[in-house]
Order: sequence, then structure tokens, then C-alpha cells
Amino acid sequence: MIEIANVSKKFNSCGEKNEFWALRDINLTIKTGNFVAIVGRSGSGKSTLMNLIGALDKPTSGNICVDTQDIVNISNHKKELYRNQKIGFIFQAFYLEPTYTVYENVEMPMLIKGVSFKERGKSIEESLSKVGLLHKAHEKAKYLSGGEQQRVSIARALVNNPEIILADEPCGNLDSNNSNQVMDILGELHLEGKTVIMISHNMEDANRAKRIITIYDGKIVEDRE
Amino acid sequence: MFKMALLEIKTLWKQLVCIMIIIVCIYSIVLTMLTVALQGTSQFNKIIDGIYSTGTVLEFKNIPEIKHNLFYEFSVNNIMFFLRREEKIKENNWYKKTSNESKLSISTKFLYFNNTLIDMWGTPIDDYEFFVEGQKWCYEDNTNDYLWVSNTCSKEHNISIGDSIRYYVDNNKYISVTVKGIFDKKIAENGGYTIDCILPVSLGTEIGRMKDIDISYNAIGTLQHITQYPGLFEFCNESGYGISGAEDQALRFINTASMITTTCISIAFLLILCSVGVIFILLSIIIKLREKHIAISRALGISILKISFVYMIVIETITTLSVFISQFISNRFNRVLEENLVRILEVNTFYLSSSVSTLWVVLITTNILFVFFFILLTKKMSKLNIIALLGRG
Repeated sequence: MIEIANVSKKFNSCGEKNEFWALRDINLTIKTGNFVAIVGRSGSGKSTLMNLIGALDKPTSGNICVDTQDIVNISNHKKELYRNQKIGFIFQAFYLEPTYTVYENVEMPMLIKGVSFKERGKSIEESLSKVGLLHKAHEKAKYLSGGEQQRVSIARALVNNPEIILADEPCGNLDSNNSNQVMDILGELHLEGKTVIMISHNMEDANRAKRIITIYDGKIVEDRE
Repeated sequence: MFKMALLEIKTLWKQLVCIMIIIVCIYSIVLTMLTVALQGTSQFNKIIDGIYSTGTVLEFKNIPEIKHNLFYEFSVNNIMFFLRREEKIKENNWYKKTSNESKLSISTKFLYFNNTLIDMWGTPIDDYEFFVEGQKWCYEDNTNDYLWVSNTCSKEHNISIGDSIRYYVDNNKYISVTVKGIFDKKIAENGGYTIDCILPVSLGTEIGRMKDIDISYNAIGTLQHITQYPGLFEFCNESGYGISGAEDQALRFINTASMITTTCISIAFLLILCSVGVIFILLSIIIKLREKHIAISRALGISILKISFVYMIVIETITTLSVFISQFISNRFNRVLEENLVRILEVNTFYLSSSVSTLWVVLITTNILFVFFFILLTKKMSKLNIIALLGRG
């Protein structure tokens, strides 16, 4: 369970005069195994919220607990372990390493974790099978289509078997056909019991989630199941 | 980490090859310089040994202070060795490290003649007034058994008339002579050289015979063309009257060798410092190119220390590879340097061949500098803003 209590985030782009509140006093609870879509305009604070949940950033005030563990006031080492083992990131721009093969891209989180060669091979094959790209394991990422690259990105997010999947506009750069494939995979992950938190502009994609949270100017304006 | 480093090498191979070319260029010079400095030192010593062994050693047998047992246990080479060590310590700080060995030297009971005059025939040396003690020089008395020493030399080394002196020509060849007289050193000052010892010309001939060298004389029987016999009179003065001391030449050589060694070591270490600086700058550029990748890796949970280690492994790998390639290239440079050193040092041969020790010196020094490099790299990594690099919605 993810518990977000009174979380605010302020950015100072050019000194205190230009300070900008990306999030204001957010209170939110996301149950384990839920599929949540966070929607809102650009600059509304969606990605900031996701970065805070993923321990990539620290809130200006408030607290975030994941499975009763405070992820705000923990050491950098624990944050790194949390990001590596508990969270799977899926980015809009995929962020694959173009010169690496599909296999090597998916292998990255496991190399960071320090998993043995044999175990790595097994987990990577499983992850790639889930996204239907096992046959392209040894192709370079730069030769894949956008949809395939996003599926590799999903496989990379899944390879360490995390409990939470954070997807930042996973279909933002994809056509409708590829978007459907990606959304299907996210739906399957939800059915497997993983907590999926997705940011989206597209209401059609968001409607496939079990819960939709709307953020406007850093505040939750709507939260519906 | 090693797999990640391997993947980075695979991705950055073009940039890394460029860095390697630069490192190889620098390290080829570094290794060549170190080879001259480290390997040259032993050869310089051998050459100095060679110079000293061509000099003349006199042994005073009947001076009471001499410890006979000690003396007879040592070969001429050893005597030379002790003598040389002592001289080195006196004359040149470069050899101070060998001072412990010099303690064994036999308190200057071995006399090293800087200048020895052979033959009185063509010179007005038969002015008896100059002979202060003992038997005066006699033209007819031209045997192998006598020599004359200067009064300064006599005082310095406690030599008195009747002392038996062994005149070494080679390692095991010597002529026993007796001090027949002592002369005022003013008697034979020639071309800036002060004569310490006068030998009869027949003794010179005998030395020549023992060294298998034919000595010819001019019309008046003077060894005027002494330089024609370098095997015997390697260190004669220009006028051809004396045999100058080996020390002069040896010290000149020591100074040259010292200068070469110091220069080579200085250049080598400066270049190592430069190479590490160059590596750091180039790697900083590469890290700038890889910021996005580093940010993603950080988002995926890699620690700053671990990602810094990945790049350290990359740089260690290319540095080590570069050093080995440099070793190969420096071998080619060595051949060129050998010829030049032979010419500069005026020696017959000078060998330079790359050794493992030079490799170790370079690798260890580079790695010591890499410690600072690693600290800087870690600081650089910690300053990277993951959110800014990945973008913010």
C-alpha cells in the first residue's frame, strides 16, 4: 500500500521569486494490486507525483510510505534498493540504450541488483515472453519500432519482479495499435497482482484503469473508482 | 559491474579508441624514458666500473695499519669496488645510497694515482734538487722494481721509502715495485696535471707487455704518442705525458648519466601526470555524452559509487591496454635511443629493452593518481540531476 500524506513539492527555477508549487498538500492512498491512472494537463504535477512515489525526488513537505516504509527519510542506499527492487519504471520516451541489444537493455536492472548470470537469463526470457519479444532478444534496440521499444521498456521494468509499476505516459509516443498492446500488458500485470500507477493524457487509456485521479495545478480535483 | 563496464566499452568503442591512441602516444614516451632511467642506471654503473677498472691501483704491502687478512681476501675487482664506492660518496651525492657498503673500505690504504708519469728520458727531471728523499732518479737505473712518489702523496698515504707497492695492470696481473724516492710535486706539473707518481719507462714497457700491447718510442725514447695506445693509457692528458685518473672520466660520466636519469624520470612522471589529466578531461566529456544513460541507470537503482566504478573499470581497461601497446612501441623507440646514447656517452654499447618493472611503475603511478580521479568522478556523478535529465511533466 502506498500512503501519501500532506505532500507538497516546490521548485525554485530562478531563486525564491520564481518558486513554483508543483504539488500542494496531496493526500492519497493506493492499495496494493490497484490499477491507478493519474490524469491532468501538462504541468499539473502528474510526473512530479510519480517521481516522488518512485523516490527519484524528495517532497518539500509531507510523507510517503510504501508498505509502511517511509521512503522520504531513508538513506540513499535504501532509496536505490527501493527503486531497483520494488519499482519498475516505464517512461514515455522508453529510455532504452540504442546500442545495446534487447536482452542487454532488459538485463540492466538485474546487473544493478547483482543477480547471477544463470538467474538473469531465466528472468529476462520470462519478461521478454510476457511482452512478446523473446524472438528479438538479440536485436539492437535502435532497430525496433516505437511499440516494440516500449514493450522492451516494460520488460525491463518487470525483470526484477517489482511490486509497483510506475508508467509515465507509456503510450504517449505510440500509435493506437501499439497503445492497445501496451495497455493490454499493463492490464495483465494488474491481474497478476501488481500495483500499476500510470500517468496519461489519453482518457481512453485512463479509462482502462480501475481508479482515475485527476490533478489540476498540483491538487487532486477528482478521484473516482 | 564488469558486465556493465563491458557494455559501456561496446557502446563507446570509437571514443575509447581515440583516448587509447592519445594514451599510447604519451605512455610510449613515458616507458622509453623510464627504461633509460631504470635500466640505464645498472648499465651506467657497469660502465663506471669499466672506467675504474682501467685505472691504476697501488697496494702498500708493508704499511702496518693494513689488515692483511682483509686485504688478501679481496680480489682487485673488490678493491676497485670499495675504492670506487668511497670515491663516489665523496664526490657525488648520486651514490649516497651505497654508503653502507663503503664502510667496508680499507680506510684509504689503497692509493689511486690520478696522474702517473712514465719516462724521464725526454724531460729535465734529473734535476736532483727536486728529490727530497730517497734515491734520486738515475737515467741508467732503469729497472722495473722502483717507482717514485710525490711528497704530497707520500704524506697523504703514509708512504715511506722502501715500501713495497703492487702495481696492478689487470685483474690478476701486477708488478711489485719498491718506493725508491720521494720528489717534490712541483717537479712534474704538466698541462694542469700534478704528477703523483713516476715510473721508469721500462715499467711502462712491462705494463704494455702484460697487456699485450706493443709500445714504440720516438727517437729520443719518449712516450710522446701515448694516446695511440688506448688499451693501456686510456686517460692520458692531451700532451701525452701523464695517465690521468679514471675518476675524472668516471665523474664526468656519472654527471652525464645522472643528468640523463634525472631528466628521464622527471619527464616520465610529468607525462604520467599529464596523461591522467588528459584521461580525466576526455572521460568527463564522455560522461557528459552519457548523462542520459547514467540518469536512467540511477533511476533503475544504481548507486553513485557503483556507476563511478563502472567508468573506472572502463578507464582502467583502456589504460592497461594502452600501457601494453605502449610497451611494444617503446621497444622501437629504445632502438633509436640506444644509438644516440652510445654517441652521447661515448660508450661502445648501450642496451635498452623494455621490462616488466617499467610497466609496473607506470601502472602503479597511474593508479595512485586514479584514486583522486575516482573521488572527482564520484563527486561529478552525485551532482547529476536525474529528474532534469529524464524530464519533468
